Amino acid sequence: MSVLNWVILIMGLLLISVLWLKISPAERKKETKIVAGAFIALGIIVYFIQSTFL
Amino acid sequence: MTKEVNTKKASMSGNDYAEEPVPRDKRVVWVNVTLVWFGAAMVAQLYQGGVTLGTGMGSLSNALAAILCGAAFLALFVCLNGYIGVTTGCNSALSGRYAYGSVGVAIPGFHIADIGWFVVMNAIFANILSQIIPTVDMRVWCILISMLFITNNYIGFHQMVILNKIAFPILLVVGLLGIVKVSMLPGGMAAVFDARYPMTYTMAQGIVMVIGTWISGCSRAADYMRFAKDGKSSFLASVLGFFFGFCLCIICGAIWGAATGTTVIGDTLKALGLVFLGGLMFFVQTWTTAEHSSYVTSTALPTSIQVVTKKKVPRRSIVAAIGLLGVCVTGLNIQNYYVPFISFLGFLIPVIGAIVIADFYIMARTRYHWTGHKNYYRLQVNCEDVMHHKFNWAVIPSLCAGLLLGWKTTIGVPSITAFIGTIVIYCICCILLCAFGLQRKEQRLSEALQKEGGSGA
Repeated sequence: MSVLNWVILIMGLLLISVLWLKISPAERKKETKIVAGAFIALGIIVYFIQSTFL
Repeated sequence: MTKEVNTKKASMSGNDYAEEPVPRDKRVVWVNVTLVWFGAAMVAQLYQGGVTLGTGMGSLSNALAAILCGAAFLALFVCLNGYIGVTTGCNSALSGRYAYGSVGVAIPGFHIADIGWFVVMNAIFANILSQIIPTVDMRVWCILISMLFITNNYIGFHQMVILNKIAFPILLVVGLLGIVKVSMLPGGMAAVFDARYPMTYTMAQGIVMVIGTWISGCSRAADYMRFAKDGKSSFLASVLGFFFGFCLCIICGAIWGAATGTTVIGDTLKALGLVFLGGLMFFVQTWTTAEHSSYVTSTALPTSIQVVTKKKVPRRSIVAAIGLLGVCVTGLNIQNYYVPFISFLGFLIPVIGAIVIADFYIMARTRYHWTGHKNYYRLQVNCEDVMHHKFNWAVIPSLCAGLLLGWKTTIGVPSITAFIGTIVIYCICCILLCAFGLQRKEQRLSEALQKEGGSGA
């Protein structure tokens, strides 16, 4: 179950990032990439902390 | 005379005019504003409110009367705020500069209430998802939803229109399907109207509940109506978008509740056989509401941040920050601590809105306006003639008295009493401050600016 949670989390974050890049205007693609990357990294860190320590 | 302080004319792509009025040529047709406002008025909690009213006011007729009275007041509040938005072209926080002053605008701009609302909505929906799919940890849903539900807002207003265009038919179909299912129950609609339930709430309490569901959101109407082309469009969008969007949700909830006799919306959906469609509707609805919450915060906070730090923060940065905050805290059961906070804001927000309404509709049309200007709202919000009026001292006693009225009063509906009381106190304070010479001081500033402009020319 733990593995399933990680798979859904990472797949979900990636899919949303792809969606963001798809609908983002051309002049803001780079910025969107950075923000999406921040969300992926933070999402993984937050879930690791929440599932391990809380 | 009116020098442009903010000369930024560059494309505001994605910034949605958070710090300047929406230009006339960028206004949209009333249908688009209506759809966005309709989406904002659709709140999942309205169904729960409707179910509670439908089963707690003795009969469905009583519940419907309370809903219509409350919704009429809210629609009036939306129209008043929306007209200010369409006239000035500014969002709620920015148009506060006219009433509060260029420094005082930090008060209405510091609108963090909706950050909490954003987190709570996401947490509630994640909880529903974890009940439907129990094999997945709720905290995973919390993280994903916090990211997904800022998608359109991060891109801009026009993307939100697309989402609301999708939400509108789903809401309409599910709401009406629920009514059809109710009418197919034994006895039909007549039995639902004839059914009697315990009178848990009086009519006044019922109206309070209806108003309480969306009064904070109504005070932010200018954030959307500033995109309307004229006052008529704003009025149409307010009435059609809000009144019918709001009423559709809460009336459907009331009828569903009265028909099934259940007080929990999840059980109501199960009883009507609408688990999948209801779940889909709640998904879209929570999404639009979460987008609304992050949107109003992202348009208001930059104004306050600029006053306090003298730095401009792009609207999208605020949206991203709200999303990141949501990722961090949504999974921590934060909704348990939110109720006392939102109760306080239930008094605060209408009071803040009342000052802007009193200033625009009453004081700006008299010779007692705190700046001494006539037709003050015709000036561009970023012009120096507006910027040099720093702080309206009449708002301090008005805000304090309004808050006390909302918090302590037992007369009538607290939110309405606070709203009307604030308007009256604000007008009296303006006249008093005028008598004490504060208006003259502001006028001297305007005269000095005029001379400076004249010599400069």
